Order: sequence, then C-alpha cells, then structure tokens
Amino acid sequence: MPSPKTLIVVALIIGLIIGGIIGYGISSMLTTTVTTVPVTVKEYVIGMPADLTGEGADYGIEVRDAGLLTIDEINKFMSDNGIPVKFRLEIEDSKTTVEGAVAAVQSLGGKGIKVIVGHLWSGQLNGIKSYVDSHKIFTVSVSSTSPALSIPNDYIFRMQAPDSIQGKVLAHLIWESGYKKVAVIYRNDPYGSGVFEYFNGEFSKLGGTVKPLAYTPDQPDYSSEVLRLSTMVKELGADKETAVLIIAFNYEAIKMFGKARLDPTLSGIAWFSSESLKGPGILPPASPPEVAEFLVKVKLTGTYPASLTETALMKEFNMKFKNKYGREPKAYGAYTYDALWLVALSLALTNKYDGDSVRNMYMLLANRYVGATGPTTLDKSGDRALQDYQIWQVVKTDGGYDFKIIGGWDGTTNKLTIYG
Amino acid sequence: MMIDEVLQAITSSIIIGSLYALIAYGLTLTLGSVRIYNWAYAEDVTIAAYVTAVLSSRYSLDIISCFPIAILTSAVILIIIDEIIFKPLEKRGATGIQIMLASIAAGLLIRYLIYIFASLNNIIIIKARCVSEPMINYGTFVITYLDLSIISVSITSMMFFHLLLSRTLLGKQIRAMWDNIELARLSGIKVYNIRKYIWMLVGIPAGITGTFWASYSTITPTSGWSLLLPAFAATIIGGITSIPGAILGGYLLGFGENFVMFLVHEFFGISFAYKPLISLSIMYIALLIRAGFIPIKTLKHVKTFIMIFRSGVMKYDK
Amino acid sequence: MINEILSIIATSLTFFSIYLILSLSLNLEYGFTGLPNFGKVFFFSLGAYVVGAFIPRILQVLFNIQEPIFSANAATLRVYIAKEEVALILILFLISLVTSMFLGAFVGYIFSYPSLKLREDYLSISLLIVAEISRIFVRTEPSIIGGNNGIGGIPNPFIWINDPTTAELMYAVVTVIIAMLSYIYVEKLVNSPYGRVLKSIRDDELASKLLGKLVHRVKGEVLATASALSAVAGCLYGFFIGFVYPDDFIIIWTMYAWLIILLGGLANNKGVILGSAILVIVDRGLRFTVSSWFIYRLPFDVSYLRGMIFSLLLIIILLFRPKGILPEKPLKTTAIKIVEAYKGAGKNKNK
Repeated sequence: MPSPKTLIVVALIIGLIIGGIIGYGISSMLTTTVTTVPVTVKEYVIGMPADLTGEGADYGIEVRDAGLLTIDEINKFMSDNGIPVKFRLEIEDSKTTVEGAVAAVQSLGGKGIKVIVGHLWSGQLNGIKSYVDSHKIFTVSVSSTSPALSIPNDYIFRMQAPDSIQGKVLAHLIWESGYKKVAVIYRNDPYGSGVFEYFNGEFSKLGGTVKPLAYTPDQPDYSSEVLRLSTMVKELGADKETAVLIIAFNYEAIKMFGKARLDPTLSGIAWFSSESLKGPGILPPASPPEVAEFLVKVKLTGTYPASLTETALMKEFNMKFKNKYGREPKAYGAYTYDALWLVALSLALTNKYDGDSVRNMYMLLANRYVGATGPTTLDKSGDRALQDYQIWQVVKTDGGYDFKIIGGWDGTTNKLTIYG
Repeated sequence: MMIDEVLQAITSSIIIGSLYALIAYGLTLTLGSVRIYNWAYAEDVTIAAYVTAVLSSRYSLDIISCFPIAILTSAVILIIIDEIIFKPLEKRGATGIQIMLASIAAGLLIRYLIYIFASLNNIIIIKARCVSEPMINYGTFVITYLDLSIISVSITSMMFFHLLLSRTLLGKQIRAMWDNIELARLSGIKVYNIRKYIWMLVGIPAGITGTFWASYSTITPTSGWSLLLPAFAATIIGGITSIPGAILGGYLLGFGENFVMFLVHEFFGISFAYKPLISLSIMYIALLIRAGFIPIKTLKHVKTFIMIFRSGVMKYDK
Repeated sequence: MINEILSIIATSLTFFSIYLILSLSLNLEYGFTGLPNFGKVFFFSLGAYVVGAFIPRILQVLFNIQEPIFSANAATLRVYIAKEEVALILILFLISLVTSMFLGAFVGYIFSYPSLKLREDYLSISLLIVAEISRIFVRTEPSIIGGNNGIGGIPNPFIWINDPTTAELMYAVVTVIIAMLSYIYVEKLVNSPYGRVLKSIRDDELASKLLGKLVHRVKGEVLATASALSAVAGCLYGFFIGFVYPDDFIIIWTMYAWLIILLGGLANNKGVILGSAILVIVDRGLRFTVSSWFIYRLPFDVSYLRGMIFSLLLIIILLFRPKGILPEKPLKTTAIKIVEAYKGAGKNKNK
C-alpha cells in the first residue's frame, strides 16, 4: 500500500494533467466550425498577448479593452452583412517581462493560434521573434516603436512608425518653436533611448545643443533626477531659448511633474514630450489638479502619431470606447482598433488560417487602408510608413483640462505646421 | 554646485529616507517579535496607499482622516494573513524560510486582488488628492507642507514606538518576546494572544507609509513591491532586530539615492541611470561592514565612524 | 494539431530542464549546505551574458558582418548565415556551455568569501543586492550586451533544422540530457561522505569545524559548483530565446528556484524534479485554459484569476506540506549501500 504522501503526489500530478487535457479539449471544441443553418460560419482565433500585470498593466489593459470592443464591432459587422466569418480574441498575460511574453506567445502558439495582435514592447518582440518567425505566426504589435526592430521579411509588423521618425519630428518641433537648447530626460529603455537617439541626431544637425539625462525606469522615486534636470536647465542658460523634453511613461512622469512644479527653474520653462504622455493619465481625475496646472503653465507640447485630419473613424472609436468603458482611450486604443480590423479583413479575404497567407493579404490591404489612425501604408520593414504626427498641447478649458491640437507634421511632405 | 541644490538633495534624502525607515521599522518589528520575514508587508503598504488614494480622490476625504482608515486596513490584513497562514504554519513546524515563502504567496494573492479591483475601476495608476504648497522656497530648495509632515509624522511615530516599547506593559512583553520567545512564554506572557496587538502595531508604519506614498508619489499595484527590496536591505543592515539600526538603514538608503547620487555625479560624472546601483552598493558595503566582513583595521579613517555606529546601535539592541 | 502539441511539449520541457538545473543548484546550496542564496538570478544571468556577449561578437567576425553588432540587421544576418553552418553553431554551443560553467564557478567562488563570515540573514540579502546591482549595471553599460536594448541574433544550435517543431524538440532533448547529467552529478556529489560534510555544515557548523572539516573550503566549493550549474542553466536559456535582455534577470527566477525546492522537498533531489514539473505544469496548464471562454463571464481578465489560483495553490501546498512534498532521505553513501546490500545485517557504519 503506497504511503499517503505518494498518493497525494500522484493525485496532484494526475489532477494537473487531467486539468490540462480538459482545458485543451475545451479549447479544441471551441475552435471547430459552428454550423448554423443554413450557412457555416468559420471562426478565427486571434491571439492577444498584453501586459496585464506588472508596470505596463495600464497600457496592457487598455489594449485589451480596445480589443474586446473592436472584436464585437467586427463580429456585428460580419453578421449584419451576412459574411460567414467570426472572430475570437484569446488574451494572455505577458507580465511586462520578456519571459512572460515568451510564455504567453508559446502558449498561444500551442493552442494553434497563427495570428497575433498584441501589446508587445520592443524587448518582448525581440524575445518572441525567433519563435514567431520559425513557426510562421503573423504578429502585429500596436505599441512597439523602437527603431532597432525595423526588420524586413519577417513575421513581425508594427502599427506605429518607428521612433526614428518621431525623434526627427520632435527635433523640428522644438527648433522651429524657437528653442535652441534642450535638456532631455528620457527613459533608459529601448523606447526612450530610441526616441532620444534620433532626436539628438536631428537636433544637433539643425544646430542645437542637447543635454541628456537617462533614468532607470520603475523606481519608487525620482527626486534626484528632477534636481539634476533643474541644474541642467540652469547650465543651458534657463532663458527663452531653453526647453525641456521628457520621454517617459505616464506614471513616472507624474512623479516627476509633482517635483518639477515646485522648482522655479523647471516651472518657468517650456516643456515638450513624446507621444507616451498624451492621454487621460496625466490629467485629472487620474492626476492631481496642481500637476495639470503645472502642465498648462509650462505649455506641455508633444507629438502623437495620428492622422492630421482627425478621421471620422477615430471620433467614432473614441465615442464607442467612452460609452462602453466610461473613460477616454489612451495612446494605443486606436492602433489596436486598426490592427484588429486589418487582420480580421485579411483573414476574411484569404479564408486560410496560416501565417503566410494572412501576411500576404495584410501587406496588400494595409497599403490601401485608411483606419482611425490614418493611412496604414507599410514600409519595407512591415512598419507604418506614412506617419503624420499631431502636435498637442495641454490647455485649460471650462470643464477642466484637455489636449488641444495646435499643429501637425505631415508625413508625406515632412513639413511642420502650427495652426493659428 | 549651488547651495540650494545641496539643500534640496539633502531634503529629498530625508523625506524618502523617512518613508524607507518606516517600512524597515515595520519589518524589524515583525522580525524581532514574531520572527517572520513578511514579504506581504509590501502589499500591505500598497493596499493602504490605494485606500488613501481612492478615499481622497473619489470621496474627497482629507488626508488626515485617511490615516486611521489606512492603518486599520493594514492591521486587519496583517491579522488575517497571520490567522490563516502564519499561525497554522508555525503550528505545523514550518521553518522561517517556508513561512517567508508563504508570505510571498500571500502577497502575490493580494496583489492580484488589487489588480482586479484596479482594472475594474480604472485606477491602475492613481495618486491621492493632497494639495501640498511650498513652505520654504529658496531657489531649487523647496519644502512643502507635505514634506514637512512626512518627516515629522515619521519621527513622531518612531518616538511613539520607542515610548511604547520601553514604558508600557505591552511593550515590555514584546521586548521579552524579542529576546527569547520560550522564556517569555514560560514567564506567563500569552505569546499567541499578543500577536494580534503586535500586528496592529505593525500596521501603523504600513498605514502611514501607504498614505504618504499615495500623496507624495503615484502608486500602482506593484508600488509596495518596488519599495520592499530596499526596505529589507535597510532592515538587515540595521541588524535585523535592531529598530534604530533599521531606521538608520532607511535613511542611509534615502541618502544613497539622493544626496550621494548628487555628489557622485558632481565629482565623478556618473550617469543618473546608475542611481539604483549607487544606493544598492552603499547598502552592500554597509552590510559588509555591519557583518564585520570588512576588517576595521584597514579602514583607518572611518574607524571612528564605525565605532560610533556600532556602539550607538548596540545600546538599543534589544 | 499534433504539431502544436509537440511544440508546447518541447518548449515546456526546455523550461522544465532550465528550472531543474537552477533548482538543483539552489538545493545544493541551501538544502544540503544551508547557504541561503537569494541572488540565484545573478549566477543564472552570468551564463546568459556569456552567450550574449561572446556569441554575436564571434559570429560578427566569422561571418564578416559589417552592420553594427547591436543592430537588428546584424542580428538577422547572424541567424540567416548560421542556418548553413551546422557544425560551427554546435561547437559554439558547447564552448558556451563550458565557458558558462567556468565563469559561474569562478564568480561563485569569489562570492563565497563574503559568505564565510556573514551570518545566514546577511548572506541572503547580500546576494540579493548583488543580483540587482548586476542587472542595473548591465542594462546601463551598453558595451556588454547592448545595454537596455539587449542583444539578439543568437542562433539556436538547431536552427539548421527546417521544421521549427523538430528543432524545438531537439533542443528540448539536449536540455533534458544536460539536466539529467546535472541531476546525476549532484546526486553523486551528495550521496557520499562529502554530502555528509555538507549536511553537517548545514546542521551545526561549529561542530563540523571542531571535527576538523575545512568548512570554508567546502563552502567555497559548493558555491562554485552551484554557480557553475546556474550559469549552465542561464546559457541554455540564452540560446533558447535567442535574445539576451538584462531586465529579464529579475528576482522571479530566484523565487522560482526557492519555490521548487521548498515545494518539492529540501535536500531531496527527486523532490526538485517533482517541484520543477509541478511549476511548469501548473503555469502552462493554467495558461492553457481558454481565455476567451471567460471574457463575458468574468468582469475582469482571467489572467488575474490564474494568478490567484497559482498563489492559492502555493499556500495550500505549503499549509499541508510545509516541509515539502518529498521528505529528506538519508544519504546513500557507498558505505551505506554496501551495508544495505547485506540485508538483515546490523547497521555498521564503519566499513
């Protein structure tokens, strides 16, 4: 008679294996064709790895919410128009780590998923690259912008243009606004260093002076970095030609703004930002009113990759998102919307569930598509080619605070225009 | 290197140091009296912070009223974890490391609960509503009312604890448990009953830190966790069961992150991206000194400092 | 369908082997010798950094690649050209394993010096701090593995196999073999008089010293051996992902190792196998439940529920089996084996 300990162990293992098999069984049951009289509707599964826990949870949850909204809209459209396809989103947590993303994607691949649309930042994309390329899993990232990942002929496509462009746009924005000296505080990660590298190159070429300050992300406190930034601004002269550029995520930025607003040097100078801050995260109610006051005082101005004429689709998407979730979408919502629509259309047209077919159809469609974020034309690396940038500024309104579009960068002519 | 920058660096060091000291303090109290490495303390602080943030921003409660609620929440959670996890494990003869692992699991569980709550209410990132206006203003050197209250409340609570532990009956019983649990039990102290009071006391630094953290900085579900490693380092450097040591460790950390980073950058040009490395290296060296690894005779010029440090700490070693 | 199942099995097996090697090393350090190592991820990362720092540089030179080493184009080229060079990649893989082993041993030995004088609690936190310091340093200093961008283009030793599932299976087999070799090695190491010395250091260091055991030397050897094992695990991880990224080496790896040995049973290497299996099965198994089924039935994402189930399971296992699932068994040194061979004979410990 085996000892009770051995029995427990064996029971545990058997239980887990059975659990796994049941799970797999349910999953395979749910992916078979659902026959409804008289038409057979084919169901396609789209995988969505997103950071639902960890530091990136704020953005990951937004992508998830936007994704669910979009899939419902797509399915309704298909059924309203009698098109016999249906889509299902399979969401996995990538935990804001590379290992988590790898586990998520491998798990999605194990469920037989061949198409992925996800919130994957550059490090995670690098980590999953060998897996998705070898298994031919078509992957679209809605959030990665690091120039280091502009690789042609692979299975990774990105909805946003690489920051090689945004860096240049920021350089022109700041230079043409009359500032010749900039203190840059940027996040020491592929995103931040990517934007900075191209900003620095272009701004120096235009004849400006740059003082950099890289900070390690995900720390509890940034008092010393803000102090150093203040000193840097003073070293640059702290005059009408000096400005600050911040390249950070919103939760760190709010910490820094909280300290910067008390600093006379930093609150008396113009601030610029990259696209990561544009969103409800830095305005009330999420952030305190005194931070918003500070942002208005320093006239925080930034870039945001989006079509210059706010497309009707974008307005519609924002409205639907607000109706369903009670809040405005942040940076990546509209990109998720466009990505999912493109992928769904590709699947519907090609009628084959494999990475190569979807990839080819996607490349065909994307070059002819105009989504909520504007035209989705691809460059040779599979990233967005034509990218306009809106120039926004934080202003005070009757009801509170908001982002006002004060200009734009035309991606086709490479020209900056400030309205009014 | 202007005087106002130096003052600002020192002030930031003291403010953050106070917060670290508070957490280290709570950890030491736990370690000394019930001998548990409680990693769920991080989540305790996070919950206190969320409670404050939600109450102050959604229900417009002022910060002062948030304190008791945050403290109560922390204490209750600690007691629950103790009843469900720590006590049963101890009764089954689990070792310190196993209880520590259980506390990590409990912390993880609480963190997922926070994620669920936060994702449902769209408050993954949140900050408490607490207006802090500058009180002293000299160039870059700014102290706000909030900063001052952080420093003063921290120091007051530490003094309160000192009085509690040295003057009251409960304090004496806790100190008896500190030295030797078996002896304490034999001399009639109801060790298991006192535990509830101990957790309530430990909830105080957690609640205070959480409230201040939500007001001073923004919080996310992983905020407490990011504070935990430095806090543990501070605790252990202080001498694990020495409260003044833990407090000193907390301030050492605060200074490492701000003032020392400032100096190191001024004189050696070391980039700010290395900031955590600077503070952690200081902790490591302090650890080696504290553990007696670095022989004193080779540090002639800091010999006096170390002797003062050691004798000062030993006086309060309970 | 069968392809997907095989792929999942292959990748799960690879992770299983990596966790196993890592946990065996921790078991050696803490389970047998009583050295609490909370900086395990540091030694793990050494192996990965060896792969990340050397392999791309060697390939850049050998393949005559002009693109800058940390760029994406160079990475693609490295992998592309490597597809033809079967023997080269396999040789580089073996060299990396050996180098990781030696580097791990060397660094482990150096770090044994602080551990000699440091008490248990001090040792645990000191190695934890070292791990964090190392991560911050590597992510900020770009010359090692490209700083916070990390470095890619590390070809898998089986990249020349066209079918990805087969390549994954081959790699899984290799990692399992290495894991089994590690297991056999550790088992041989502890089921001997040396193992008795380890346990004596764990149980009562002073008595051990008094009995003339060279405790300091043994501790150094243990840390060196265990770190060598951890570095091998890290090397396997680096080749598996094909991309080395410093922020990947965070405390979660240390936690996994501790989880495994505490769940599976301290000082019981079979328990480590069990623990690693449980971790991988639970983690993958939970992920395997179909998320989309839950979307409209749960107001929040099912991933949070999975995480809660994971931690609850952990708590339950700890509550019911605080000493781990498998208990510590007496060491089967040669002497005992001989004695046991003579069933019924008295327990004569002297040969």
